[in-house]
Amino acid sequence: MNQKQKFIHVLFLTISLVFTGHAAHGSIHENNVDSVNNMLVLHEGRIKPMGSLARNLLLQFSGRTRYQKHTALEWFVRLILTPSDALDDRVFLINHPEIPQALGLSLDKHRRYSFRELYDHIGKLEELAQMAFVLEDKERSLVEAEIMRVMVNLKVFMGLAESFQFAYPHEAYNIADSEVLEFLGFASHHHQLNFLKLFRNRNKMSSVLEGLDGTDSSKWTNLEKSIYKLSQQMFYDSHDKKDLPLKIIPIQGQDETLWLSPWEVILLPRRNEKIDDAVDQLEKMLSSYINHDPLEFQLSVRAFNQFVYGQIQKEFPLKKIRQENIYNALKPFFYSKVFYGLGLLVCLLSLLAWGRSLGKVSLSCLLLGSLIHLAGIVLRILIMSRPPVSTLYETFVFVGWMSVVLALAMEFFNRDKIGLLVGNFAGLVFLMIAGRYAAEGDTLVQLVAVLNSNFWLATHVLSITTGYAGVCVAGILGHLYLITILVNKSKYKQDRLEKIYRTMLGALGFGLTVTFIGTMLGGIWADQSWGRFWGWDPKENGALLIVLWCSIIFHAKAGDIIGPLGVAVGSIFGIIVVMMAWFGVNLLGVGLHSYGFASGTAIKLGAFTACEVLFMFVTYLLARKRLGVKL
Amino acid sequence: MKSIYQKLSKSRAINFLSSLELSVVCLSLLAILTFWGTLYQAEYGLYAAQQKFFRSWIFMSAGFIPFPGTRLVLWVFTVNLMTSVLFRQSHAWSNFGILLTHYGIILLMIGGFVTFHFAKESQVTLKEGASTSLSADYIDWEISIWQSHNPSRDITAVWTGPSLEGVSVPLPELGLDLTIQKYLVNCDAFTASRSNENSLNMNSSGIQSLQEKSPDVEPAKNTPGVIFTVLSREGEKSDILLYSQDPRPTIVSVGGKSYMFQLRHRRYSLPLGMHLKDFRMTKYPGVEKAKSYESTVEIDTGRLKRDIVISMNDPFRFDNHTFYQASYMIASDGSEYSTFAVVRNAGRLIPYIAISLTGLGLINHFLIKLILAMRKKRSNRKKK
Repeated sequence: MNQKQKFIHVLFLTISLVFTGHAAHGSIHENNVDSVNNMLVLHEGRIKPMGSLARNLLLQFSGRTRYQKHTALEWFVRLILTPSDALDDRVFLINHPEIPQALGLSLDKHRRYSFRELYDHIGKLEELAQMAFVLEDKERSLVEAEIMRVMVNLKVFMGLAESFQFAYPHEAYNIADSEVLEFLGFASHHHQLNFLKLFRNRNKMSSVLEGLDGTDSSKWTNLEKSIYKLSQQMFYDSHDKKDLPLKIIPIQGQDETLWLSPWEVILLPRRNEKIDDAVDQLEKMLSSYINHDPLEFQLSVRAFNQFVYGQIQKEFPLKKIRQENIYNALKPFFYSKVFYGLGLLVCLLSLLAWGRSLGKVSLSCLLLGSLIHLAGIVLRILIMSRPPVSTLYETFVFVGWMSVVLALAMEFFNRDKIGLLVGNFAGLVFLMIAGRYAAEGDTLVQLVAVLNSNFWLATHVLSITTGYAGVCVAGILGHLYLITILVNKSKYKQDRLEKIYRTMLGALGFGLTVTFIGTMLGGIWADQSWGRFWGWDPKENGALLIVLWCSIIFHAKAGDIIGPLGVAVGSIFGIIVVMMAWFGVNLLGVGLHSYGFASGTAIKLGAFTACEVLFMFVTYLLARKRLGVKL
Repeated sequence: MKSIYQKLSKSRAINFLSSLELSVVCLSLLAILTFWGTLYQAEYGLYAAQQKFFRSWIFMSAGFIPFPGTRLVLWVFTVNLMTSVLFRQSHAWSNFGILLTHYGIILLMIGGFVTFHFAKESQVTLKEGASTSLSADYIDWEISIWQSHNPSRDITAVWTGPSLEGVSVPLPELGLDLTIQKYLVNCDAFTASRSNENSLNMNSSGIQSLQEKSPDVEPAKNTPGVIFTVLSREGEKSDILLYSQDPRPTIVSVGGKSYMFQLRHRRYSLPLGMHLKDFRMTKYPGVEKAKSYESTVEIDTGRLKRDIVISMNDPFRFDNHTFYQASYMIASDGSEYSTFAVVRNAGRLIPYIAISLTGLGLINHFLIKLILAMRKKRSNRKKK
């Protein structure tokens, strides 16, 4: 069976039983689930609090961090504990209308669909996914990639829904016969049982089953018939329970700690009492959730956590969990984005009226934004124990912050609100771009072996990205320079222009210096890791292009080949060069640094470049006419 | 002396060579070549891009328009740099940062020159428990010859390649002359003769003919073949065919002695012996993502034996050689192999010095400019 067939096979097998049986419903409002935040889970190679997993999965499914009025955690707990309540949650984001059309679904204006809706058309979806699956990554169209994404999300949803199935009071386990109850050692009123309770009594059951071997089933007693039926149901329920996504129980293996899902633990051949006890706490968690008993719920979560913490405290510092929960609760990049946005608005207003006082407000926004921004970066460093930049997402966050710092320095130096304008603008834009990348799931990811070197990540990557920030700030100033020439109709302020020009040169020089150092540190890293200082790898070339471009501007300026106008145009083009080096080269899909292919990015990058070139061309021509000088 | 300098600095040639205009042209050409070569690489592979754009003097774009290659541009650029620091740029203290920057870049160019012409890259693949004191080239091949009865198995190696077709190599220690007739850079082997004429080429695996294919974009993936003649002192002659993928050596009796011939990657002797004791790979918990690779190797420098650990990002250096953890393989029987990249480069430290100079120069210049701007601002404020 190939991987794909297996994948779909699993989906089919499990769907029929997960959502049947239990009539009890949990209610998010009545149960306080915050305590679940402190539960740990191993996901994508990293131990993280459940709150992070919940948030990231909901983001991955729906592109949002809340579901209606509920927090991600509330939604998530409901999904794993009472999945039948989550079937109609419209959490599956499908970006391309062709897919719901192909499935025969009516289009949702929010582009979000429920599990039930999609499951009703699972046959067609599988067919489409199968076609997309056989293609190479590069050959897949956006729609095909989206089908794969939805299919994977459905599978994860399924797996999560099964996680606590062992503790459901299942209809098939309703034992009305008091003889059977008595035989199994349950009280006679205890007629709603679950898999776990019966599984713990499997010795009694198997003694009965052994005696049945080879006998005529028509002569079985009622007890024997019931036990046989129960065991069949149990076999069916426990079938194929490997690789479920919720790895929450750490077990000491031979030389490392293994994280297993509750099902895997229950079906382990050898367990000790402590582990059984932990599983019992999970069962209690489910029953108290269903019975709306918040106190009992919290006690069982706490008891379970105590077990987990005891298992891993030697190798995993628990303060990281606190830090990550603070990070999740603080939402630093969201709030800094808000402050930057506000600061930009106020700064623009201040150009029209109440310049002085509004300028101060804008400065406060920029300062506050940058502090929260910094707090987010620092928390990430603490949680991951590594420097803040190693994925594309993190580059945007960091370049955003560096740009803000540069702009603050400019403002401190010039006090002419240009720093406020540039800083608030750059911070906002970079964090908005980062937000797009955050929707892919957990942004705190483990690194592949070759990148796993804190020293080089700290030196090479930080200086390169700081260089990006310098060149981008120079580019933004280039825009401002040209716009300033054009908007000042009668008397353009020579003084102001000169100031922007000087600052632009400073930012560009800063960008050149830091990018050069970063590029060369990259050379040293490559020499240390691969044995060559320079290998014409696309990312190396990209960084070199930035250095070359800045050098061209400075040499052309020194040789009087271009004047201030030329420097401004060149700085704007510098942004394009940075974008090419930053993520344009990833689109080539070759080389040592290609971390992820995104075809949507290519279109956006192309559109951005076209707009910038058009802007440069038009404003340059107009400015030249107004100033009466060439480049 | 001074007058020669003054005369030179006023000459039109020096004026041209040291001009900023020439710098801008060189930098622009480098930018174009870098961009173009990067795009080319995505389609034709790194090696082809390096050959066409970055190692060439000149190349044809669109098949017939000549365009200067990076090698040519870098030579002009270096001359431009040297003449400009000697003749054009101010040697005043205020220009110290800029000068330092340019001296650093000149040194970087020298480092590039040394590495380009004198560095050698090769690799060593070892099974756990195995030893070697040789490394293998990635691209070049050689014919290795040894006598089957000789217990010490002294191997004679003859470098082979397309440029050596028709070349005769005397091998006095074996009493043979070897003449390379045909060398195919990339080919398939066939046991049947492809033409009607009866081939008399000798090969232990029964390979009778080779069919040429176009070279792979990654030259390390080429599978070459060679046909050559050996002539003994007694005048006995044999035509031998070797294929790179042939696992068995070809045994040939010439002048009463039997010789073994095999085509293998060109070998270089290392300044030490290596014995792979253990290879380890660790993964992040619960996923297949690798966290680190490392090998424990016992090295024998002739004087003493000791254990060293080579891991990703942490190579081992010895006598101008650097050993990197490059790759690994786990065979179906569970035995582990570790591959090390070996780089021999006498000029390895030059770029380190060069970029330190340039980096310091840039920082120096940037700070000077910043301080000047601050002073100016302060005096302006005082005036107000």
